[in-house]
Amino acid sequence: MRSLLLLGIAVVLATITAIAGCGQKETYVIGSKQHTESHILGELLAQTLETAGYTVDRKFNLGGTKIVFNALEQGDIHAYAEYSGTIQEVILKETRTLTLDEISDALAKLGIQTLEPLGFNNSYAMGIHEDLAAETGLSKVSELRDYPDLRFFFSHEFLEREDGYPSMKAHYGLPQSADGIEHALALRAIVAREIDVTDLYTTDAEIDHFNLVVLEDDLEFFPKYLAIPIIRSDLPEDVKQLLNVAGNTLTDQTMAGLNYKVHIDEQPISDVAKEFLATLNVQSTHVAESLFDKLVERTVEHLYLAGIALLAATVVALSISIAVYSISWLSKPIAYIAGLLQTIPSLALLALMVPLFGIGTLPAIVALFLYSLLPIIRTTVTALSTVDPVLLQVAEGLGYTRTQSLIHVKLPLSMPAIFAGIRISAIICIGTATLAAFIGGGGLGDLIFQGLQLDDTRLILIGAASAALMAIIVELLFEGVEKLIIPGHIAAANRISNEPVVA
Amino acid sequence: MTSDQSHCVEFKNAGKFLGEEWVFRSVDVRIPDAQITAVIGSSGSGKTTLLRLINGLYRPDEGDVEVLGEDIPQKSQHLFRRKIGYAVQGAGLFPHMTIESNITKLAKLSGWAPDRIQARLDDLLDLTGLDVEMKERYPHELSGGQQHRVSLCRALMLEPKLLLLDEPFSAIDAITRNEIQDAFIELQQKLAFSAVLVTHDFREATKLADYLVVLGDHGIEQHGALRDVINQPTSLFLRELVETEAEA
Repeated sequence: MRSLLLLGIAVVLATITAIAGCGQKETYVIGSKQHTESHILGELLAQTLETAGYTVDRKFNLGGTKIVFNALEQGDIHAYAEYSGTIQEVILKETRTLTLDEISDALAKLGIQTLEPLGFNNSYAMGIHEDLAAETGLSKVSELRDYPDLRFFFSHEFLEREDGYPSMKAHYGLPQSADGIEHALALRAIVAREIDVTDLYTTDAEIDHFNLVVLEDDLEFFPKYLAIPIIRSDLPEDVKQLLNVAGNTLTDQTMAGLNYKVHIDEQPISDVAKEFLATLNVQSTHVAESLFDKLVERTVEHLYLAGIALLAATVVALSISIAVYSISWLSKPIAYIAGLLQTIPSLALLALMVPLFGIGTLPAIVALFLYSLLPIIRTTVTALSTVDPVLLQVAEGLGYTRTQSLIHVKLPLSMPAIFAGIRISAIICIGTATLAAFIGGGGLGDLIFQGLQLDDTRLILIGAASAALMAIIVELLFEGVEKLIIPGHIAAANRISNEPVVA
Repeated sequence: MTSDQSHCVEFKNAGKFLGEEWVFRSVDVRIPDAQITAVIGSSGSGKTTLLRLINGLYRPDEGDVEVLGEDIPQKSQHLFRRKIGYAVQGAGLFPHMTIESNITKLAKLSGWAPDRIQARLDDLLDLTGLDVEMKERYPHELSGGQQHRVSLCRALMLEPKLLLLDEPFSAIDAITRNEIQDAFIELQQKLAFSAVLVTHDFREATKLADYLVVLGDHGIEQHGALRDVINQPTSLFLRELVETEAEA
C-alpha cells in the first residue's frame, strides 16, 4: 500500500519535472494582457524578434496586470508592453505622479528595464462629434468652459471615480454637470448628436469609426498612460535593441488606427502588426495562423493539460484513498481537505498557482490536478469502505492476505464507483482547463478569451463548443473502456444500488 | 469421547470476550478427526464465534485452541487459513469473478501449477455435480443450489484437512437443501475431511453430523457422538429440541 503511494508521488514528480523541463531556454517569451492593444503590442515585439531569427513563445491573454507583471519578474516571460500610469498605480502603488526616469529606476530594482516609450498615450480623453468641433472650433478641454449648454454624458466609472469627472470639473473649472450612460450607447448617441461630450480612451478604434474629435488635455488633468515595453534587465543587448524598434513610432492616431483595423476591419492581429512593422523597415515573415490550425493547436494543448492533470490526480487520489479508506479518523479529514480545494473558485485557484509556479502549463496542470482529486477520493473511499463485509470475511477466512483481498476483491468491486469518480474529474478537468489561458496555459480557453476581447461571438462559440464536444467524446470513451473492463452485471448492480450482487 | 480418538481441533479451557461480556468461557472439547461435527445452540450462544476461533479470525482471550496439531500462528495467518476450508451462509461467492476464478483464485495465488489447478477443479466440479460449462459463468447466472455447490468447491480447492461451515445451507429452499446435504455427506465420505458445521437447524445437525457440540449461554452444555448425545440429552436446550422433534 505504501509502495503504491510512493509510486503515485514519483509519477507526479516525474510529470512535473518533465513539464518544467519543457520551458525552452533559447526562445524568448513575449506576454500580453487580455485586450486588443496589448495583444497588438505583444505581436510587434514578437515578430521583431522572429524576423531577427529568434524563436518566440507567445503568452498572450494573460489575466491582468499582476499576473503578467509577476510572470515578467519571475522570468516566465521576457517582455511585454505596459502603461506608465498602470506601472505607477498598480505595480509601484505610488499615488503621486512619477516621471519616466523615476519609473525606470524603481523597476530597475526589480530586475526590469524600461525601453523607449512607444509614443502614444492611452489615457482618458474628452470626445466630441467632428461637426460640433467644426461649428464651435473646440479643440481643447479648457474651451468647454465657454459652452455651458453642452450635454455631458460619461461612463459610470468615469463619473464616479475620485479622479474622474468630479476632479476634472474642479481642475478645469467647468460649469456643466454630467449624467451616466453606457459607453456603447454614448458613442451612438454622440453620432446622433443627442449628446455632446463623452469620455473616451485616446487610442479607441471608435474615435475614427464614429468621426469623433479628441479635445486636448491642455491643463494636463489626465494621468499619462504612455505605452512602454518593459523587459527583463538580463536580456542580451542585441535583443534589447531589437525590442526597442518601435520606440517613439506610434502616435495616438497610429495606435487608434491599428486598433481600428483589428476591431472594425476584423483583420488578424498578427497581420496588423506585420503591416506596421513594414513601415519601420522590419519585414516580418510571420504568417497568421488559420482558424483551423489554431483550433487544432489549442485542442491538443487542452487535451494535454486535462490529460496530464487527470492522470496524476487519478494515481494520487487512488493511492491516498487506498492508504486511508480503512482509517476513518484520517479518511474524513482528507476528504474534507479535498472538498475544500474544490470550493475555491477555479479562477482563484489558477491565480493562486502563479506565485508558486509562475505562468504557463505547469501551474494550470497543478490547479487542475488539485481540482480533480476530490471526486476520485470521495468515490473511491466510499466504495472501498462499503464493500459487502460478508465477502471480505470470506476472503479473509479462505486465506487471502490483506493485499490480495484489496486487489482481487475490494478494488474490482469498487471499480464502477471509482470509474464514476474519474469520469466526473475528467469532465471537471476539461471544463476548467478553458480557464488555463488566463495564466498562459493555453488550451481552448485561448480562443474564448480572444473572442471576448475582439467581441467575436464566432470565436467564443468555437472555443466553447470544442470544449463541450471534447467533454462528450471523453465521456463516451470512458463508457467504452468501462464496458470493456467491468463485467456488465457488476456495473449494472452499481447503477441500481451500491451493493454488490450476492445471491 | 475417548482419549485415544484422534482429533483435528482441541479447545483447551478457551474463552472469548466480545463487546462487554464473555461469549463463553472454559470451553474444553476435542473435535474428532475425519468426521462431521455439528455445533448447535440458541442464538447468541457463540456458535459462529467458536468457528472463528478455529481459523484464527478471533483469538481466544483465555485458554488455547490447537488446530491440526499445532497452535494458531501469530504471523502469516493466511497460510494457516489456507489449510482450512471455509464456507458461509448465502454462499458468499465473489460476484465479479467467474465460477472458475471463485474456486481457483487462491490456488493460483498460492503458486499451484496450472495442470494441478485444472485437475483439482475438474474433480471438484464432478464431485459436487456441477457442469464443467459453468466455469465461465458468473455467480448470478447460477441457481442458489449451484452457488452453494460452488462455495463447497471453493472451500475444498486447496485440499484442506478441515472444513469450517457457518450455516452454509440455511438460505436455500428445502428441496435444494436436502440435495446439497446429501451431496455434502457423499463428498465427506469420499474425501474424508474433518468438518465443523455451525447450524441452527437441528434436523440438519442430526442428518449430517457424527459428533455434536451443544452450546449454551456460557459455554458447552454437552458434547459427544451424535447418538449418545441424543439418547441422553442433559442440556435443557437439547432436551427441548429432541422432544419437539419426537412430537413432529
